[in-house]
Amino acid sequence: MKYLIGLLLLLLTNLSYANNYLDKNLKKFNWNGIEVVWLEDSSFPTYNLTVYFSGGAIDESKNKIGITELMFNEMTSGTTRYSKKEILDVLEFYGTSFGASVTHEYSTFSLAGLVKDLEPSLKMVCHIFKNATYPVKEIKKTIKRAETGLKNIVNNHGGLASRVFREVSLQGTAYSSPVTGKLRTLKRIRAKDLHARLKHFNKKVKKRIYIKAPAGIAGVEKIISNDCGWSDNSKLTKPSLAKTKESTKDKNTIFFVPVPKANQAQIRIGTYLSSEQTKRDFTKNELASRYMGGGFTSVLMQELRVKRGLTYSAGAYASAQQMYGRTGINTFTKNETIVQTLNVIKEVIERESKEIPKANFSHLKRFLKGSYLLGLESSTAFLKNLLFFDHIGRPYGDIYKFPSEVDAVSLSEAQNKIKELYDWNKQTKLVLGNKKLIPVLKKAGFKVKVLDYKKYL
Amino acid sequence: MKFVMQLIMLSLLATACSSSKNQETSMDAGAESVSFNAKKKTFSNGLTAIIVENPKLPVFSYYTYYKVGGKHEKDGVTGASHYLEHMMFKGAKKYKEGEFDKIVEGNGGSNNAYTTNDLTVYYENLPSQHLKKIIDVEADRMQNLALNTDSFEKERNVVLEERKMRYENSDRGKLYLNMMKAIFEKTPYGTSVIGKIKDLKSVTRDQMYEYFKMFYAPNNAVVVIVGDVDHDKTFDLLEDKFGSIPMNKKLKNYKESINSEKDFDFKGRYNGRKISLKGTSPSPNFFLAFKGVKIGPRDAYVLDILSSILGDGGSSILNQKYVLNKRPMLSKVGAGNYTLQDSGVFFINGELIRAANLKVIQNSLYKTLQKSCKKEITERSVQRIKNQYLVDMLSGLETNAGIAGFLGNREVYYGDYRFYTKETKIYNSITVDELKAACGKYLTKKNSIFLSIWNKN
Repeated sequence: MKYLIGLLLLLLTNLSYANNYLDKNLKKFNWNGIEVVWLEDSSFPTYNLTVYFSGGAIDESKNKIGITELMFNEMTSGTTRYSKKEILDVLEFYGTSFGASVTHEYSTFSLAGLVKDLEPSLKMVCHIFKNATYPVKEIKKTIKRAETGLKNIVNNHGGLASRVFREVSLQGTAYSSPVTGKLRTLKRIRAKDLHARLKHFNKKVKKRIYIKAPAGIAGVEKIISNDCGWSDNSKLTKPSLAKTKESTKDKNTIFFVPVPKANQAQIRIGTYLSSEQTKRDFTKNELASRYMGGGFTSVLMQELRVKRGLTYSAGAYASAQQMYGRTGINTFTKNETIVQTLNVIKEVIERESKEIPKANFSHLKRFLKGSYLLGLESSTAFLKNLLFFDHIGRPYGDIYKFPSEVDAVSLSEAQNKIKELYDWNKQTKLVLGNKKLIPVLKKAGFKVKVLDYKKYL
Repeated sequence: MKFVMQLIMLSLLATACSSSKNQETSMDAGAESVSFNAKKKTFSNGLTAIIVENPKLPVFSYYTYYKVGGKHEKDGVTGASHYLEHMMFKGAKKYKEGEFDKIVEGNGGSNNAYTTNDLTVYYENLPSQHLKKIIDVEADRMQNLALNTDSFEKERNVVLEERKMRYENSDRGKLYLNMMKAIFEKTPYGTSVIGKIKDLKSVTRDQMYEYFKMFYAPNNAVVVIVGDVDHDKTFDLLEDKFGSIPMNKKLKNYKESINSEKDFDFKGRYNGRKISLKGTSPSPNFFLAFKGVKIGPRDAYVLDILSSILGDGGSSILNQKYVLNKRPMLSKVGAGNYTLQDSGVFFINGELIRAANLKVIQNSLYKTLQKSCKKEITERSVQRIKNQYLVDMLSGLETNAGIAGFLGNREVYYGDYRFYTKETKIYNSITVDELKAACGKYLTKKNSIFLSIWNKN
């Protein structure tokens, strides 16, 4: 676990040391045109291998939303040589965990297990990428299962609120659709569509491989180079932003999603961030969102939970990918206190964007720097960070600059950032709950626009 | 979050307490890759402490296990353990309300807690230079909790909101609560950890204080500290801060007076009894619950492996039979063996594809369990689970917190943090015949209850 010692030293020392450290523990290779980032870690006889694809769900056609995730997930449904049962039997026998993650901008396929089983597991995964057949019967069954799951989301109020909120708050941008797909689009996806999508990812989409494992595992390069079917001509693609035009927001509008028998209301507040905003102010965005809702001492937790007992949890975020970002505030409260909770959030935003107490600000900086370090404690988490930095085009050395960047943010910059990110008048506001709340919200002066959740499934 | 951890504990107990022998990597090799520089000490007031030196990063994790949970609550104060867990963050004598979170987060740390039927567990992760302060804070709240009336009332609302979020507005939450209530009917595990609404609304500050004084004592606690710490210096710090806290000499007798071994004998109504709950999901979710086994006996380990063979992964028996077969009846299925300190429950849970019939699935499951146990449990399927357990165990040990939880659970349940070495031997020695026999012994209709929930019940 040498890398961790190095990591802390880096955070405490300087960038030149950081570069030395990275030189020593982080190896880069080029295997048949594919860049490989290998973090040497011999603390356990285990590995984690992640294939990064520079493409995600953003270019899916309107009628085939969800195709990218389905393409990855259904690769195990069968190949020219193996049935689904045989594939699962091989991988699960080794105790290998595997799976894909799709965002709008990029996708990953990961596998993890014992080092001694890396080769046979990777061979199977490469075989799947090269020879997946997407049997029609299997695809139909999967889509049927997905339909059942989507319809049942009505009893997961938090999940449903976030799903509807994404579409409403990002309307007009290329990022509004759920990567998991929708009922109407999943039904239209055919095996040939999945074949075509996989071919696109195999041949056209740029890949990079991240490995956390002891050094010198023979055979991995040969398998990646020969068995996966990945072309070395694939190009790094950038997400297209053809339709980034946000809908106009009315500061008094609440989107309301009625669900049966709810005795609690979910609240989602947030907005879209442009690539300029996310790239320019990565650290300031992080600082502002953590101040608002990043821990027990965050201002929203203090005001909503600790001082008033209005909720069990409240959180804020300012997340970013390469070309876009989102801000958000998530909380919930009992039906009787929905208006009070909305008003408190509004007051908090307005107050903190004018005057953050100095003591709170220095507390926040210490919290942010310390939690950043602890967040990198596991080498798997560290590697994920490297992958994300590569995706957004930041050098690895920036990881070690973070503490000094936090220190450099002034009080007024933080206040301005809160105003910029969370300005009440610029946010989309959504409440999910019992329809009895509609007149309550109207009485409080909000324009209520009712949405049928079924249209968002 | 200070939250009830029941569902998560299911998976923790099913996986973290596991290690196994691989065909090629022997159990000993697996165990050899896991070694801890640990020392244990029991102080004169009964406090047990385990210190693990792990200097890879100058950070540490601090876990405190209090041996109090839902099973210790009398009628009228159900939910007290969990409510008290919330109040433990609300100030004591030396460190007033709000100071605890400020100390932890203001120094870059994080903290949280969870409550189960058997335990209440608190944990913090911080840079090492703050160890002394955290020991002081923990000692302060062990002996001098403030329980301020105002914050007690506010937190009552917070707990009620948590209850709504986890159980009242979630079909799965409701189903889980009712499963525990039914299978452990008339036993101390039959009341929910979150508590009855009427008790949460009526419990007084004085009742809570009495509960606190009884159970929050050094002879009812285990402290586990893992990280960049020194054994001897840390024991000295603990002696300095905790040494003067008197043990509760009444505790042992009190625990025996409220719960005898016989109290945990199954007393419910089983024999395939059906419980139909009204929910909001358009397709049914179900639990088929069987009388299980407490932590410790060999059969508990046998049932762990059996649950994984039946329900873990796509190649498991139930997934192959009901989800991935030609005409699926279920959109998802799983199995678990939830072993508690004094009893246990083995369950199968799933979600029906809309048209499927609940009665049909219940009867089909009984038949499948008996038939599959005879025919489909093989040396290979058992080895698959042993391999998976080994990978899971190693993956969980990447962080100080993972190690602290791993050792702490074993200390609390077995009285020996090193018990994992014995566990791996037990798991490795389990045979196909034992698994088949356990099926016939435990997974029978007469030992079971079938619960379902959806909007048509």
